[in-house]
Amino acid sequence: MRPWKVVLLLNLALALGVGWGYLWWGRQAARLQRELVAARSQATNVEREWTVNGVVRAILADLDVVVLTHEEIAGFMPPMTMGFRAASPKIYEGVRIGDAVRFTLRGAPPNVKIVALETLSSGGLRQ
Amino acid sequence: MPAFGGVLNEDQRWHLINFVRALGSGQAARRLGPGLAAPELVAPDFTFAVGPTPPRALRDYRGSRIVALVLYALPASRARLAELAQHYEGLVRRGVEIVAVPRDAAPDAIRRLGDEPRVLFPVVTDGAREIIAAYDLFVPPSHAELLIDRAGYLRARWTTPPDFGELLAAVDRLNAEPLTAPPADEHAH
Repeated sequence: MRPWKVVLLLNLALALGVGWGYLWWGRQAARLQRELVAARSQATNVEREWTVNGVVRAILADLDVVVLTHEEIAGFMPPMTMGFRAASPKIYEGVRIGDAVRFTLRGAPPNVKIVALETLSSGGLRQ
Repeated sequence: MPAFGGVLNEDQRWHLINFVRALGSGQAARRLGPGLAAPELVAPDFTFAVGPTPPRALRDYRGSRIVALVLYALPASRARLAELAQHYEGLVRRGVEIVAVPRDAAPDAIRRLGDEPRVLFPVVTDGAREIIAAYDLFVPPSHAELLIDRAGYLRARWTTPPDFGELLAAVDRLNAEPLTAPPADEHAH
């Protein structure tokens, strides 16, 4: 076989190989993308629980909402000031503005509720 | 180096340089007023925390938010804090973050503000003493408000609470400015 034919065949084989590989990886990427979307939507529908520290900024008893400046809630939200509904008014009984607290949130984001709240220090002063 | 140059070691020389620079900045800041000044005077950086949240630094706001630094004392500042609390949402929409610093550096500063009105902007519970020490060079020891632009420069100073419309006008003017000033940097060579 003449050398130019060998080179042509090799180039053809290489082009076919690269093309096939490109298509295969493209299909893989699309499948992984679909799986990621599915996993994310599943994760948001799954009930989770977090326990984090915060400081009480306001209590809206008529709405059963406690507004807290809190540290990061892993995988849910960065540190910020945010209102959360309490599962029951008993949870924030005796709690005062400025109290440093450790609270537990439970639910499937974004529908989460405070299910427990423990006062760490009163008015920012360590007990 | 002046005649006392030989008396000071290298560390002492740097302390002297920093002291003179701080005095210079203080003097320049005292010339600041309610009108917007040119972006020349760097706002001293600081770190602070609100309750148990991780510490934040003033420089974290650079490039994104205008900071209204409010040095307050109770009970004199209560009415002004209530006014700021009432308009906080509107200020946030205009790209402003309020950082309120109690002059007495009380760790229970949030409790002392009481239940009403609801103050939801950051109130410094850790780091206030250092902030007050640094900014007292710029303002008299009473209620004071300083406006820091998105590049980190001190642009306006009020030693009595300004009319809220005046504050908004200053904010709107800062928002209308293009971000052309280089980011503030505070160091000496």
